Amino acid sequence: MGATGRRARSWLAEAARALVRGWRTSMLAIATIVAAVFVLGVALMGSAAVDRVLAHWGRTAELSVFLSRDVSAAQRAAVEQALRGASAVADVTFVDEREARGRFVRTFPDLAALAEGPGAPHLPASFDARLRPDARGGAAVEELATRLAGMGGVSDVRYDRGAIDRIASTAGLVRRLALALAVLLSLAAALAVLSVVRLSYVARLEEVEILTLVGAPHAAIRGPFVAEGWLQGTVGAAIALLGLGGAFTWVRARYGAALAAALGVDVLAFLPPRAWIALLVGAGLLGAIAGGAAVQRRRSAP
Amino acid sequence: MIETRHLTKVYARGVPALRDLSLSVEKGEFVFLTGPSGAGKSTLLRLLICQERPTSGELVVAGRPLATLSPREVQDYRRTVGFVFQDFKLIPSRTVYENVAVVLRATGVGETVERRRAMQVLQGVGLQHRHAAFPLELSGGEQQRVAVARALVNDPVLVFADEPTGNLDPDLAIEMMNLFREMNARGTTVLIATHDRELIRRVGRRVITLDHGRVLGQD
Repeated sequence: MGATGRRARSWLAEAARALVRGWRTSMLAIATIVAAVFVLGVALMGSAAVDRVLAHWGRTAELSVFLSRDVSAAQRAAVEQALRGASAVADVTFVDEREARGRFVRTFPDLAALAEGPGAPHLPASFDARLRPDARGGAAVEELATRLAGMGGVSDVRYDRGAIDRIASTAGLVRRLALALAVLLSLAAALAVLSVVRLSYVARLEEVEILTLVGAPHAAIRGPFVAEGWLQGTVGAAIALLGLGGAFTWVRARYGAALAAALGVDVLAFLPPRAWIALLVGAGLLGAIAGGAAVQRRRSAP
Repeated sequence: MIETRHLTKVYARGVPALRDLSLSVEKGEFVFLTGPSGAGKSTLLRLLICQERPTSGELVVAGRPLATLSPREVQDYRRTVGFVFQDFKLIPSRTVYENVAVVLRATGVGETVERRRAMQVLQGVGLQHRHAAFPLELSGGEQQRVAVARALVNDPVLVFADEPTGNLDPDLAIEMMNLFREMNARGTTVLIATHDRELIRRVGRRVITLDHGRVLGQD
């Protein structure tokens, strides 16, 4: 083992001893790191799940043009022509009143009596347009929907994309809030590590003084404290990831099938290896920086 | 080896600890620094290990003007001298071996050299069998010897000691002095601050007496 490796091993051994010696205060720093990484992990997983749902819904988004009861054959033909002539539309299906009622009964079998009995509400005929993938969410579809809404014989135009965009916008806001919370918790974690390493430094001031007096380089004196911060960060992140893994397994087992059925897609997936490695490395780095800051050289020292 | 010219150290409250002190110690000398409490012995030693800076005057050790050294130069300088503190200054959380080896680690020697040199010097002070013990498990005399071993481990050109026999019985004190004498015989310059007149008489080397921060006499 080279001199650097030997030094790093010695710093880590000292850091581990310090961690065990002051385990009560170390726990405080580690707990805040666990909280920060856990929240960040949940935010990342939640964000990825929302992205998957929105992508799935986006792929299945359709344009529905509902016709009024008194629509004339010419108006109906004009609407159909407008749809078939639009470059954003891939396919058009006409759903008459009977088919609409059939769909309602298939979707809500418990309410079948409402749709079929005497005095049942009018379910309008419609054109369902499947959009081309490259046109989804584009301005051309928005324009088409607006134009169709103004045509004679059209009672309503439903375009799912608008709702999806609103959900995406809300999800983005929630994601930003979660990330802001994670950043705040990370700052709190860094401050906790800084305070704990500072305490450890003060407890070992005599040792530091002796090392200084025998001419130990500043890096050699700070090294164990930087390693202590790194260790706290890494241990905290590892505990948080284990907790996330446990929580994910439980949620998936309990709610995975129900969520998949409700949302139409299996949204639950654990963090990819790249993400948890980044969390481990990031938390370690944050801890090391905080540890280094805790023992920043006092400029007045000889 | 050590040269002071008009060296003055005044502490914050205006109390002068050293006044216009001029003295010299040649390379390879063994010198006792003595005088009553408050004479300035410890202050001079603190200046010699750059724990403090002089208020005025010159302090040159092995050609280095200590008052103007940068922090990095101070580190380098400290690695070339050994120091035995009055209160030992051993690291309680480290073993005897680690307390001694810490100096070698500061100089960046390899593991094999470190082990050989540290065990050699521990053998020299008769503590090789206690290398795995912690300072608090040792007697006062043993702790003193660890402190001496640490001062000697990097073969310093110069060794300072502040009351190194203060906690030892007379026989052990002489034994300790023999260690310093052996070191001196190998060419190391030794400067020991003590007020133990009997010890000075028995060892019989050059003596510089300080009083109120001035040189009172030299024998």
